[in-house]
Amino acid sequence: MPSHPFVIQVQDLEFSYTAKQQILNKLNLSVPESSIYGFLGANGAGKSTTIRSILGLLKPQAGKISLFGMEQQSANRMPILRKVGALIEDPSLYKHLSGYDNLKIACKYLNLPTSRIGEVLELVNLEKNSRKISKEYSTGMKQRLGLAIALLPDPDLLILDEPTNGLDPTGIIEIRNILKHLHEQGKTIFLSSHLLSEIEKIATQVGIVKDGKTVFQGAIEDLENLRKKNFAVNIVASNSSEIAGKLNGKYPSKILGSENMQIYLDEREALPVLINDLVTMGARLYEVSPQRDNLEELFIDLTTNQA
Amino acid sequence: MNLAISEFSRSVTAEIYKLKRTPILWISIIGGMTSAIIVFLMFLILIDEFVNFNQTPWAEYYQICHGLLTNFLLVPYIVLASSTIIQAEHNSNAWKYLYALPLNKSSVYFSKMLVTIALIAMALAIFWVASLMGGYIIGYFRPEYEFLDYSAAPFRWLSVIFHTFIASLGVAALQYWFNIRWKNYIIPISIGLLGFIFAVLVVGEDRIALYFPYCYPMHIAEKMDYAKTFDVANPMTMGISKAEWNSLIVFAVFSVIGFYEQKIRNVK
Repeated sequence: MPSHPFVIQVQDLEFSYTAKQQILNKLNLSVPESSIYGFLGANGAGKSTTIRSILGLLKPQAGKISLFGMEQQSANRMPILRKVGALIEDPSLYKHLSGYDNLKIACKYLNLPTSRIGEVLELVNLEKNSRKISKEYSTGMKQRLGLAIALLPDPDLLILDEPTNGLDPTGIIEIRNILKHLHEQGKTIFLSSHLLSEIEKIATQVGIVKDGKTVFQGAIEDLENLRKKNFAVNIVASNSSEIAGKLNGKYPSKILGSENMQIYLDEREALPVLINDLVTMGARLYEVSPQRDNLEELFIDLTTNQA
Repeated sequence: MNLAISEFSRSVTAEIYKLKRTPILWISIIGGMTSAIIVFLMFLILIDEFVNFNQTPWAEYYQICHGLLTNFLLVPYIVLASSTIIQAEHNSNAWKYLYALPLNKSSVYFSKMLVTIALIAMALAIFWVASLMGGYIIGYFRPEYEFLDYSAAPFRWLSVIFHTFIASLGVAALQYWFNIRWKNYIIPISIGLLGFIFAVLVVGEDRIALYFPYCYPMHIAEKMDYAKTFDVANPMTMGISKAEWNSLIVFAVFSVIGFYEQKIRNVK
């Protein structure tokens, strides 16, 4: 099988439904082979639009999308889609039919033997309920059935849009375990979510999107390193605006209110030095509160505060 | 070419499989039979007003059957059947899934269309059989009306129904397009039923009826000379009428427009 360094590569993608509202604005992505790529962004950031463009469901106004080294255009649509299994938001299920029947329909479309149905049902742990009408499935079961349908053709690349949306913790863990298992088999998994806590538990690569732009992309470790350099401290001092002037240059800072400000440090260890400096500058300190120390904060920061 | 045919036939079997457990098959079967039973009962009650002696009673009988079919049942059935089949895809959010499969979009679009049209054909075939049986039953229980003394001309009756089917393809293509286009089924059903009501009002006026697809099936019945058609002594002379040609043109044009629109559409 020919190998490409990036299974999905998106360059300067632009998309809008109307001239007024730009949904994707020069978005870039590079998904390495055999990775679990966590595609993070707040609701409305452009995740689903990106996924639909990658699958050729939407026609972007500008930019380039390649999968497996083939450009996404009508001539390559079929060879690309043959290597991809997708689950986009709510799974597309014929609710009047059983889980088994839904898989059988997919088998007919894909020209696969029905023996494949048992294999994917086992993989997503739905064998017992396969004859039940899918209308009666729980959200988690529907999601797993959707995943089973995506897995039927044994695709090299699995594209999942918010697969854990609406699931209870048990359901989330089940999906996560299935994905880990598939990753061990060497599949590339592209997974979108608005929950960083979910992505950091499973992804090897992360891309963060905000307002249709990529604001971060790299290995999960790079995100950790970035976090260390983005240690924020909230300060409450009665003369805070005066202090902010004096800080200028030494520490990056932001005024939050008449007495409140936020100061950014490279790492947690710099905090005692900062407090010392503030006291020396004559700050009348009432409160020094380091911001919650996890990726969630950084994620919120990246997706809400960045200019 | 072979691959494309194999893909299309697989898509058709997938479409047929989707009909499992849906009411549409039963609606088509029961609908075809019930309408024949209604004519049968009506004919049996009012038989003296219909039958002229010394000529085939089948012509009068088929006229009533055909009138009921085209003026009351066929267009509403097409409107409801196409909505039922296509709305199942909207309800399942299936378009994004279907168009992300390694299948030609034409297979997806036209296989579903073929199944919709096949259901219409099936309902008409059931109506054909049931109405024939109705005629024979009348003949058996009321021999004085001489049904059994004349030929039932089943294949002439089938030919009339076939021409009616051709005349209904235009409406079928229009309703198919509307249903794919609008996720809210109220829109295609409203257009279809308004089209039907308008058709009933204007069917006698050729200047309008020949350019209004919802009229075409009724127009066939409107123009037909039943006594001549079912007189087996006369040779069969049923060509393709203007309404049928127009129906085929509407069918071809709107199938292409509908498919092209699907092909370039952004799948949200």
